[in-house]
Amino acid sequence: MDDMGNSNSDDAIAALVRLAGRRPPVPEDAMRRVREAVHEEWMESIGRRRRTRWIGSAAAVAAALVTIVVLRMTPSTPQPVPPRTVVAGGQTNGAVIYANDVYEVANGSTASLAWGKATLRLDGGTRVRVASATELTLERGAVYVDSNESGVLVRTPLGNVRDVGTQFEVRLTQDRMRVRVREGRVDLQHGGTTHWATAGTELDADAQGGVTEHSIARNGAEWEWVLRAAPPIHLDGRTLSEVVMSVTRDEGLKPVWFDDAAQNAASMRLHGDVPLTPEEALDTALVASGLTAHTNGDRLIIKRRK
Amino acid sequence: MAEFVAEHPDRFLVARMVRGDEVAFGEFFEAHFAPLFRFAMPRVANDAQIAEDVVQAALCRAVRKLSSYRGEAALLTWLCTFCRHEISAYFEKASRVPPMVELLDDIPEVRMALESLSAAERPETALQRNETSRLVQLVLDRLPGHYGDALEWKYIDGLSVVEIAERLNVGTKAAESMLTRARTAFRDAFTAAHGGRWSEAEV
Repeated sequence: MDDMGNSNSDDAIAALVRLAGRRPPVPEDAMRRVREAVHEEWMESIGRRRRTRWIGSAAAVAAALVTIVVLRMTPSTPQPVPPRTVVAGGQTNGAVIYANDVYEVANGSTASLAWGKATLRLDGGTRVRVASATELTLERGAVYVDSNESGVLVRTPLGNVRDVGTQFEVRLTQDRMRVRVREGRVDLQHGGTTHWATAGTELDADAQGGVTEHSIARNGAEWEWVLRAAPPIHLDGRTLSEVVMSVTRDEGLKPVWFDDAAQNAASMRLHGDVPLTPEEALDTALVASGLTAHTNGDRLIIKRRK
Repeated sequence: MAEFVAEHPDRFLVARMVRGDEVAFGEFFEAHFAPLFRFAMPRVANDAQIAEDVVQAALCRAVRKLSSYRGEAALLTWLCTFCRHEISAYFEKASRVPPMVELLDDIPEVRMALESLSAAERPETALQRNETSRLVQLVLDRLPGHYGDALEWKYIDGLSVVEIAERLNVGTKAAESMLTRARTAFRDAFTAAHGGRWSEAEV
């Protein structure tokens, strides 16, 4: 069909869709109830399959079982209900994030939220209360924040952590708080003193006001949950370089475009509608570009596939 | 991997769900609940409570059988099969007679056309003009991914490509390219379902 034909056909599509009008909406409360019931059924079915594998394979026993539950909960203590204010445009599992929402993640699970300008990942067993687009309270567990220079504040019973343009994790246990900085810097207010930590540093704060500082790796097993919690990546319209930068940033790696083939492919634009995990996105993007990659220390070496 | 994803998005989605991927569950539910609810409503005399019950039962049964999904039909088509069973079971159990309605998507030819969005066979049943709207909505429900939503946002809500990109959390170019594919998919599906008789004159 020529250009004119396409244009006429597009006009006709527009007219047809308008003629038909919007599809009837579905009742939101019904949708929520059904979602909860089906989710529960799905979780149970996964559990059933996993129990079967447990019996059948010793290796499967050792494998980490992923059982993810993200619940948006209302505060447990009765109190006046404040107006529900959207504090972030992002969604998790279909839910809009509201001020004063409490998010709780089941053990062994992870979740990610678009939180204002920042992205927020929650490890298993975590409970957070989102106060606004830049402030939350960590009640238990661990959060990882990629702040995108939004100046977020993470409150905890053991002190407050404010970012200065960074990626960092705050993990709360019964009587300690650990702050690990992957990029940039954070300030920790604890026991009346402000401590600061830069990339590759961990601050360990106890309930008595003591803080110790350690050097840490910026990638590796300790950060694995962050990758598991990463939001899906859409390849469509992005360049190979953008995908590589996004995934290596999550993994704490520095990309090295090793040869000409890799450097030339970096600007290649990718296509595909299906959202992928970071690892799948990287694999898919590299295969589609005729490249391969391996890690060497904190570097990801990208080169021509042989 | 890339080819598998592109050619079998429903199978890929189901494979992720079987692995326990929470994001995949969210995508599955968001994409299929509303079309399935709309599928059920006219078949249960537009009783929203019954529709909710049968859709819930159908989805619960389907998620238990995810590993048996082979991708031979679109995922929504597969789910509609469960829903039909649940609707029959409901009326049997309630000793009630199902409403006597003839729905477009119960016409075998239309159903075939909707299930295989590239089918070229012309349905023998003449579709009435006053049914065109319902057919358009059925086709929008059957389009993959967010294609149906994107076309509604564009042509009913009048959103710009930038606004659609924001809603989908993708770049402008990706949204533009998705709209192009959505239009193509709609044209192919509607043409197949309507026997190739759609044109500007139709609207």
